[in-house]
Amino acid sequence: MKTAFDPEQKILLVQVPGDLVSTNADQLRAALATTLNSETAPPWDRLRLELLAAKMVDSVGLNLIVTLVRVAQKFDRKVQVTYTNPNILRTFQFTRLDQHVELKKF
Amino acid sequence: MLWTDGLEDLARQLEIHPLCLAHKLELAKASGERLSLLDEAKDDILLASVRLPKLTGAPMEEDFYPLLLAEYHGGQAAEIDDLSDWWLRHLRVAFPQMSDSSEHDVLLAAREAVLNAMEHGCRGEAGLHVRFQISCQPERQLVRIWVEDPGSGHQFDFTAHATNAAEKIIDEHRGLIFITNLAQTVKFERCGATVIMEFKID
Repeated sequence: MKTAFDPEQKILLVQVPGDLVSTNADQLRAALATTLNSETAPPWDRLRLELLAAKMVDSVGLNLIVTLVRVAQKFDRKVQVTYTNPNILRTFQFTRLDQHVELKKF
Repeated sequence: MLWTDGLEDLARQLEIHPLCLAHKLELAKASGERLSLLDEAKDDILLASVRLPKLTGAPMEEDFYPLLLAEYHGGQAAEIDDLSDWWLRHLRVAFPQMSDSSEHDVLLAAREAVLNAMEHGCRGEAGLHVRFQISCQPERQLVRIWVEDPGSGHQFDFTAHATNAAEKIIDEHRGLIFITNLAQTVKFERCGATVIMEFKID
Protein backbone atom coordinates (compact mmCIF):
# COMPACT_ATOMS: atom_id res chain seq x y z
CA MET A 1 0.00 0.00 0.00
CA LYS A 2 1.22 3.50 -0.83
CA THR A 3 -0.07 6.76 0.53
CA ALA A 4 0.42 10.35 -0.60
CA PHE A 5 -1.04 13.68 0.38
CA ASP A 6 -2.07 16.53 -1.91
CA PRO A 7 -1.88 19.61 0.37
CA GLU A 8 -3.61 21.92 -2.14
CA GLN A 9 -6.73 19.82 -2.52
CA LYS A 10 -6.33 18.20 0.88
CA ILE A 11 -6.67 14.74 -0.63
CA LEU A 12 -5.13 11.77 1.11
CA LEU A 13 -4.40 9.17 -1.54
CA VAL A 14 -4.28 5.50 -0.56
CA GLN A 15 -3.18 3.13 -3.33
CA VAL A 16 -4.08 -0.54 -2.97
CA PRO A 17 -1.80 -2.66 -5.18
CA GLY A 18 -4.35 -5.37 -6.11
CA ASP A 19 -7.52 -6.93 -4.75
CA LEU A 20 -8.91 -5.86 -1.41
CA VAL A 21 -9.77 -9.19 0.21
CA SER A 22 -9.62 -11.18 3.43
CA THR A 23 -5.98 -12.14 2.95
CA ASN A 24 -4.65 -8.57 2.84
CA ALA A 25 -7.35 -6.45 4.52
CA ASP A 26 -5.90 -6.78 8.02
CA GLN A 27 -2.48 -5.68 6.86
CA LEU A 28 -4.03 -2.69 5.08
CA ARG A 29 -6.15 -1.90 8.12
CA ALA A 30 -3.06 -1.76 10.32
CA ALA A 31 -1.19 0.44 7.84
CA LEU A 32 -4.18 2.77 7.52
CA ALA A 33 -4.57 3.03 11.27
CA THR A 34 -1.05 4.46 11.39
CA THR A 35 -1.70 6.78 8.43
CA LEU A 36 -4.99 8.04 9.85
CA ASN A 37 -3.72 8.50 13.38
CA SER A 38 -5.42 11.74 14.37
CA GLU A 39 -2.28 13.23 15.86
CA THR A 40 0.04 12.65 12.92
CA ALA A 41 -2.29 12.47 9.92
CA PRO A 42 -2.14 15.28 7.36
CA PRO A 43 -5.18 17.63 7.32
CA TRP A 44 -7.19 15.74 4.69
CA ASP A 45 -10.73 16.59 3.58
CA ARG A 46 -11.07 13.69 1.20
CA LEU A 47 -9.62 10.20 1.31
CA ARG A 48 -9.17 8.74 -2.17
CA LEU A 49 -8.89 4.95 -2.11
CA GLU A 50 -7.33 3.84 -5.39
CA LEU A 51 -8.50 0.37 -6.42
CA LEU A 52 -7.28 0.67 -10.00
CA ALA A 53 -5.55 -2.74 -9.94
CA ALA A 54 -8.37 -4.51 -8.11
CA LYS A 55 -10.55 -7.14 -9.75
CA MET A 56 -12.27 -8.11 -6.53
CA VAL A 57 -13.35 -6.64 -3.21
CA ASP A 58 -14.75 -9.23 -0.79
CA SER A 59 -16.79 -8.76 2.37
CA VAL A 60 -13.72 -8.32 4.58
CA GLY A 61 -12.29 -5.74 2.18
CA LEU A 62 -15.63 -3.98 2.12
CA ASN A 63 -15.70 -3.89 5.92
CA LEU A 64 -12.40 -2.05 5.82
CA ILE A 65 -13.93 0.54 3.50
CA VAL A 66 -16.89 0.81 5.90
CA THR A 67 -14.41 1.62 8.66
CA LEU A 68 -12.88 4.36 6.51
CA VAL A 69 -16.31 5.80 5.78
CA ARG A 70 -17.08 5.92 9.49
CA VAL A 71 -13.83 7.69 10.25
CA ALA A 72 -14.50 10.20 7.48
CA GLN A 73 -18.10 10.80 8.54
CA LYS A 74 -17.01 11.39 12.12
CA PHE A 75 -14.96 14.38 10.95
CA ASP A 76 -17.41 15.41 8.22
CA ARG A 77 -15.04 14.32 5.46
CA LYS A 78 -15.50 12.27 2.29
CA VAL A 79 -14.25 8.96 0.92
CA GLN A 80 -13.76 8.53 -2.80
CA VAL A 81 -13.05 5.18 -4.46
CA THR A 82 -11.45 5.00 -7.90
CA TYR A 83 -11.64 1.78 -9.92
CA THR A 84 -11.33 0.38 -13.42
CA ASN A 85 -13.00 -3.03 -13.20
CA PRO A 86 -16.82 -2.91 -13.49
CA ASN A 87 -17.14 -5.78 -10.99
CA ILE A 88 -15.90 -3.40 -8.30
CA LEU A 89 -18.75 -1.01 -9.06
CA ARG A 90 -21.29 -3.86 -8.92
CA THR A 91 -20.01 -4.85 -5.48
CA PHE A 92 -20.55 -1.34 -4.15
CA GLN A 93 -23.98 -1.19 -5.73
CA PHE A 94 -25.48 -4.42 -4.44
CA THR A 95 -24.17 -3.75 -0.93
CA ARG A 96 -25.49 -0.18 -1.30
CA LEU A 97 -22.19 1.22 -0.13
CA ASP A 98 -22.30 3.39 -3.26
CA GLN A 99 -24.61 5.63 -1.22
CA HIS A 100 -21.81 6.40 1.21
CA VAL A 101 -18.74 6.77 -1.00
CA GLU A 102 -18.07 8.67 -4.19
CA LEU A 103 -17.18 6.22 -6.97
CA LYS A 104 -15.09 7.27 -9.92
CA LYS A 105 -14.20 5.06 -12.89
CA PHE A 106 -10.84 5.39 -14.65
CA MET B 1 -17.01 -42.80 -14.36
CA LEU B 2 -13.93 -45.00 -14.42
CA TRP B 3 -10.52 -44.06 -15.74
CA THR B 4 -6.95 -45.29 -15.98
CA ASP B 5 -3.96 -43.76 -14.27
CA GLY B 6 -3.02 -41.90 -17.48
CA LEU B 7 -5.94 -39.55 -16.82
CA GLU B 8 -4.83 -38.93 -13.25
CA ASP B 9 -1.29 -38.20 -14.42
CA LEU B 10 -2.53 -35.64 -16.94
CA ALA B 11 -4.88 -34.05 -14.37
CA ARG B 12 -1.92 -33.70 -12.03
CA GLN B 13 0.11 -32.06 -14.81
CA LEU B 14 -2.74 -29.64 -15.50
CA GLU B 15 -3.31 -29.05 -11.77
CA ILE B 16 -6.98 -29.93 -11.90
CA HIS B 17 -9.13 -32.60 -10.27
CA PRO B 18 -9.41 -35.84 -12.34
CA LEU B 19 -13.21 -35.48 -12.36
CA CYS B 20 -12.91 -32.16 -14.16
CA LEU B 21 -10.66 -33.65 -16.84
CA ALA B 22 -12.87 -36.75 -17.19
CA HIS B 23 -15.89 -34.55 -17.71
CA LYS B 24 -14.04 -32.45 -20.29
CA LEU B 25 -12.97 -35.57 -22.22
CA GLU B 26 -16.47 -36.97 -22.18
CA LEU B 27 -17.93 -33.76 -23.60
CA ALA B 28 -15.19 -33.54 -26.21
CA LYS B 29 -15.84 -37.12 -27.30
CA ALA B 30 -19.55 -36.41 -27.66
CA SER B 31 -19.01 -33.25 -29.70
CA GLY B 32 -16.05 -34.48 -31.74
CA GLU B 33 -13.88 -31.67 -30.42
CA ARG B 34 -10.12 -32.20 -30.54
CA LEU B 35 -8.56 -31.27 -27.21
CA SER B 36 -5.09 -29.77 -27.40
CA LEU B 37 -4.56 -30.51 -23.71
CA LEU B 38 -4.34 -34.20 -24.64
CA ASP B 39 -1.08 -33.44 -26.46
CA GLU B 40 0.53 -33.15 -23.05
CA ALA B 41 -0.52 -36.66 -21.98
CA LYS B 42 2.43 -38.96 -21.33
CA ASP B 43 0.38 -42.14 -21.02
CA ASP B 44 -2.66 -43.75 -22.64
CA ILE B 45 -6.01 -42.71 -21.20
CA LEU B 46 -9.08 -44.90 -21.01
CA LEU B 47 -12.28 -43.37 -19.72
CA ALA B 48 -15.55 -45.25 -19.31
CA SER B 49 -18.79 -43.72 -18.11
CA VAL B 50 -22.17 -45.25 -17.46
CA ARG B 51 -25.41 -43.28 -17.27
CA LEU B 52 -28.44 -44.75 -15.61
CA PRO B 53 -31.73 -44.04 -17.38
CA LYS B 54 -34.16 -41.76 -15.61
CA LEU B 55 -37.13 -43.57 -14.13
CA THR B 56 -40.45 -42.21 -15.33
CA GLY B 57 -42.06 -40.02 -12.71
CA ALA B 58 -39.16 -40.25 -10.28
CA PRO B 59 -37.79 -36.91 -9.08
CA MET B 60 -34.20 -36.65 -10.24
CA GLU B 61 -31.57 -34.01 -10.13
CA GLU B 62 -30.80 -32.36 -13.43
CA ASP B 63 -27.59 -33.62 -14.94
CA PHE B 64 -24.94 -31.78 -12.99
CA TYR B 65 -21.44 -33.16 -13.51
CA PRO B 66 -19.00 -32.87 -10.63
CA LEU B 67 -15.83 -30.94 -11.52
CA LEU B 68 -14.20 -30.82 -8.13
CA LEU B 69 -14.75 -32.47 -4.77
CA ALA B 70 -12.67 -31.21 -1.88
CA GLU B 71 -12.49 -30.95 1.88
CA TYR B 72 -10.88 -28.06 3.71
CA HIS B 73 -10.22 -27.78 7.42
CA GLY B 74 -11.29 -24.85 9.53
CA GLY B 75 -7.79 -23.44 9.81
CA GLN B 76 -7.28 -22.87 6.10
CA ALA B 77 -8.78 -19.38 5.75
CA ALA B 78 -5.37 -17.86 5.03
CA GLU B 79 -5.07 -20.16 2.00
CA ILE B 80 -8.23 -18.90 0.35
CA ASP B 81 -6.38 -17.14 -2.51
CA ASP B 82 -4.69 -20.42 -3.51
CA LEU B 83 -7.95 -22.34 -3.17
CA SER B 84 -9.67 -19.75 -5.32
CA ASP B 85 -7.00 -20.11 -8.03
CA TRP B 86 -7.49 -23.88 -7.92
CA TRP B 87 -11.27 -23.53 -8.38
CA LEU B 88 -10.73 -21.12 -11.25
CA ARG B 89 -8.61 -23.65 -13.14
CA HIS B 90 -11.54 -26.09 -13.07
CA LEU B 91 -14.06 -23.48 -14.15
CA ARG B 92 -11.86 -22.46 -17.09
CA VAL B 93 -11.51 -26.04 -18.27
CA ALA B 94 -15.28 -26.54 -18.14
CA PHE B 95 -16.17 -23.11 -19.54
CA PRO B 96 -13.22 -21.76 -21.57
CA GLN B 97 -15.27 -18.78 -22.81
CA MET B 98 -16.48 -17.73 -19.35
CA SER B 99 -16.80 -13.94 -18.99
CA ASP B 100 -14.92 -11.90 -16.41
CA SER B 101 -18.12 -11.11 -14.56
CA SER B 102 -19.19 -14.78 -14.33
CA GLU B 103 -15.72 -15.72 -13.13
CA HIS B 104 -15.82 -12.94 -10.55
CA ASP B 105 -19.27 -13.84 -9.27
CA VAL B 106 -18.65 -17.58 -8.89
CA LEU B 107 -15.27 -17.17 -7.21
CA LEU B 108 -16.32 -14.38 -4.89
CA ALA B 109 -19.49 -16.14 -3.73
CA ALA B 110 -17.57 -19.41 -3.26
CA ARG B 111 -14.89 -17.62 -1.24
CA GLU B 112 -17.50 -16.02 0.99
CA ALA B 113 -19.32 -19.30 1.57
CA VAL B 114 -16.14 -21.27 2.31
CA LEU B 115 -14.68 -18.60 4.60
CA ASN B 116 -17.98 -18.39 6.43
CA ALA B 117 -18.03 -22.18 6.85
CA MET B 118 -14.43 -22.23 8.10
CA GLU B 119 -14.94 -19.39 10.53
CA HIS B 120 -18.38 -20.17 11.91
CA GLY B 121 -19.18 -23.81 11.04
CA CYS B 122 -15.69 -25.05 11.92
CA ARG B 123 -14.87 -22.30 14.44
CA GLY B 124 -11.47 -22.03 12.75
CA GLU B 125 -10.47 -25.45 14.09
CA ALA B 126 -8.18 -27.69 12.04
CA GLY B 127 -10.05 -30.78 13.28
CA LEU B 128 -13.33 -29.74 11.64
CA HIS B 129 -13.90 -29.79 7.90
CA VAL B 130 -15.80 -27.97 5.16
CA ARG B 131 -17.00 -30.10 2.26
CA PHE B 132 -16.89 -28.33 -1.08
CA GLN B 133 -18.07 -29.26 -4.54
CA ILE B 134 -18.15 -27.56 -7.93
CA SER B 135 -20.41 -29.11 -10.54
CA CYS B 136 -21.78 -27.93 -13.84
CA GLN B 137 -24.64 -28.43 -16.24
CA PRO B 138 -23.02 -27.62 -19.60
CA GLU B 139 -26.16 -27.57 -21.78
CA ARG B 140 -27.68 -24.80 -19.67
CA GLN B 141 -24.35 -23.13 -18.86
CA LEU B 142 -24.89 -23.58 -15.13
CA VAL B 143 -22.36 -23.91 -12.34
CA ARG B 144 -23.35 -25.17 -8.91
CA ILE B 145 -21.26 -24.58 -5.80
CA TRP B 146 -22.09 -26.67 -2.76
CA VAL B 147 -20.56 -25.87 0.63
CA GLU B 148 -21.30 -27.76 3.82
CA ASP B 149 -19.87 -27.32 7.29
CA PRO B 150 -20.33 -29.47 10.41
CA GLY B 151 -21.94 -26.68 12.45
CA SER B 152 -25.59 -26.32 13.33
CA GLY B 153 -26.07 -23.05 11.43
CA HIS B 154 -28.17 -20.29 12.95
CA GLN B 155 -31.46 -18.54 12.41
CA PHE B 156 -30.99 -15.20 10.71
CA ASP B 157 -33.32 -12.45 9.50
CA PHE B 158 -31.50 -11.78 6.26
CA THR B 159 -33.77 -9.03 4.90
CA ALA B 160 -33.58 -6.96 8.08
CA HIS B 161 -29.85 -7.44 8.19
CA ALA B 162 -29.28 -6.38 4.56
CA THR B 163 -31.27 -3.18 5.14
CA ASN B 164 -29.41 -2.47 8.36
CA ALA B 165 -26.03 -3.11 6.72
CA ALA B 166 -26.82 -0.65 3.94
CA GLU B 167 -28.40 2.13 5.98
CA LYS B 168 -26.28 2.06 9.11
CA ILE B 169 -23.12 0.84 7.38
CA ILE B 170 -22.51 -1.88 9.94
CA ASP B 171 -19.50 -4.07 9.28
CA GLU B 172 -20.67 -7.60 9.92
CA HIS B 173 -22.11 -10.49 7.93
CA ARG B 174 -21.80 -8.92 4.48
CA GLY B 175 -20.72 -12.35 3.25
CA LEU B 176 -24.37 -13.41 3.08
CA ILE B 177 -25.26 -10.27 1.14
CA PHE B 178 -22.54 -11.16 -1.36
CA ILE B 179 -23.76 -14.74 -1.74
CA THR B 180 -27.38 -13.85 -2.30
CA ASN B 181 -26.58 -11.11 -4.80
CA LEU B 182 -23.92 -12.88 -6.83
CA ALA B 183 -25.65 -16.22 -7.39
CA GLN B 184 -28.75 -16.66 -9.55
CA THR B 185 -30.26 -19.01 -6.99
CA VAL B 186 -29.23 -19.83 -3.44
CA LYS B 187 -30.58 -22.53 -1.21
CA PHE B 188 -29.76 -22.71 2.48
CA GLU B 189 -30.24 -25.99 4.34
CA ARG B 190 -29.68 -26.88 8.00
CA CYS B 191 -30.07 -23.21 9.01
CA GLY B 192 -27.31 -22.16 6.62
CA ALA B 193 -24.77 -24.88 7.45
CA THR B 194 -25.26 -26.10 3.87
CA VAL B 195 -25.26 -23.55 1.05
CA ILE B 196 -26.05 -24.44 -2.57
CA MET B 197 -25.51 -21.69 -5.13
CA GLU B 198 -26.16 -21.77 -8.85
CA PHE B 199 -24.74 -19.42 -11.44
CA LYS B 200 -25.64 -18.87 -15.06
CA ILE B 201 -22.36 -18.64 -16.94
CA ASP B 202 -22.02 -16.22 -19.82
